Amino acid sequence: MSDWLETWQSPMVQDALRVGIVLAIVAGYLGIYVVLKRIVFVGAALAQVSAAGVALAFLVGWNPLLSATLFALAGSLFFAQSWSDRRMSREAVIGAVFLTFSALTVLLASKGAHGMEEVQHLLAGDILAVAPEEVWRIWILGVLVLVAFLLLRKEFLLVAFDAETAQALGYRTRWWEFAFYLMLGGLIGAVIHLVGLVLIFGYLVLPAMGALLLCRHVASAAAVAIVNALLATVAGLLISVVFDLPTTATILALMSAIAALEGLASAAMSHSSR
Amino acid sequence: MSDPLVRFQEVQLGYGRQVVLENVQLDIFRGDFFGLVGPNGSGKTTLLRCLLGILKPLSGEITRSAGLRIGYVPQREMLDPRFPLTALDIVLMGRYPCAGVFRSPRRADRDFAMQCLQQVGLADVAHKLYRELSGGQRQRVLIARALAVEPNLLVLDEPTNGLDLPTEAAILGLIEQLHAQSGLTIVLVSHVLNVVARYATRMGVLLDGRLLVGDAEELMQEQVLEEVYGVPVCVQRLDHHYIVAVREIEEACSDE
Repeated sequence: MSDWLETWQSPMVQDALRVGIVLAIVAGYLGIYVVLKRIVFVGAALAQVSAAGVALAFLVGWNPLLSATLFALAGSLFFAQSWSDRRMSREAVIGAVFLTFSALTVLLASKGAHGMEEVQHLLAGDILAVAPEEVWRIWILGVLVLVAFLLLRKEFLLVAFDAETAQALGYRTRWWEFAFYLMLGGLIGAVIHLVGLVLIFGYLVLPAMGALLLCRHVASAAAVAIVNALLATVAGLLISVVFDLPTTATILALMSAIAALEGLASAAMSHSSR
Repeated sequence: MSDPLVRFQEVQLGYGRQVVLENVQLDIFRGDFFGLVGPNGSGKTTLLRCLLGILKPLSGEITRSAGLRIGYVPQREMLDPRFPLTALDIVLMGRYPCAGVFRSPRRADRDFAMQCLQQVGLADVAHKLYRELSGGQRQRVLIARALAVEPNLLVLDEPTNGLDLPTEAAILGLIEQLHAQSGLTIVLVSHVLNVVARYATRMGVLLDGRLLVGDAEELMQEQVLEEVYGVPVCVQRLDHHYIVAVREIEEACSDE
């Protein structure tokens, strides 16, 4: 008993907890807009683009954070474009970007010092391996992104719900779309090499999904999404420490379970109200 | 006559090298009820986007009067009803430009939004989710949102699509009321000829990349509509209503 408590109180786990908490709050909140805007796989594609940036950085000796962020920002610029008049569907392009940069990541990492081990790390990540100096950097970035998003939430909501009317009201929707993707891409780029693609993708999708099934309003859904993500993070870290389980997978499994329970609760409530 | 709210002068509209409409000459005056009709793909949406300032003309000049505020009612089908937004949330969006960036709408904006909902007869469903409303109610919510802009020009894109007869009549009655009682200038885009002809004081018909402007009596002529739609039509007048039928069907019915 005291072993796991000692592990729980260790700097390594406490740093992981701090990173997890800020990700849960920021990505949990942004996830509401990602799901409502139906750009779930854009999040995955951006994460993969960032991962390629990290792989390139390790290969050529660049700063992985800078490289990941630059790649993510380039990806944001690409995805912020309007797709209404194109010959190819947006979904196909997202898939193509995901696959292309997945292949690129593997190819680049295979030539790096750590080879496929690096690919595995980029996919699954290891939140427990976050360095102490990274914790405060992620907190600062997270707070900046969250504050900016909270201040601009009504414009993001309008552009997401009705871009044409937003344009008619004088909003430059392309710039608003780019700003949204910039924040999303910036967050992903900053954490991908620390927590891995799968975990950040999970934070952007699963807590929001459960919250939107359960809640009737955007504001309450955002609050519930954050709670979902925090619960999964804290419990996931604790369970993984007690039972010596992979941390990323445990957190994701808990997020999935919470989303599933909320889905069932929502179905039960609709059934009983008939 | 006073200066128009919007003036199109020798405007060419399109996308890149593709010209959709040429030499568009159009004035929309205060108090107009202007109806725009045309077949699918004729350029209604292009002209509408230009009117709203979303699309720049390829050439020519579009002049808008100072202080012009446009309230826009988009096609309902373009919106995702799964967004967890109440009727009031949506109407409040019309007040966002007043609130400004970085600020939430104030109490006065909420009160005004409620007044707009009241004006369209939906005050009692202000806190209901948009997705729980009927098609007619959703249309009214969108009209209320446009009114929340405090417009001097109201632009509606196919507001009666997918609505049953009584609901369609109710929506058109509301629009007519806004025009007659509130003095709102209206631009109504619709593919339903008889609806536009019934209510509009002036009409615009799109034909072969051109805009013909006139009143219903001038444009609701069989030879004009046959040229526009490429099928033989029969036009009958009943009080204020125009009844338009494709001539083959009308002849088939008369054979029976």
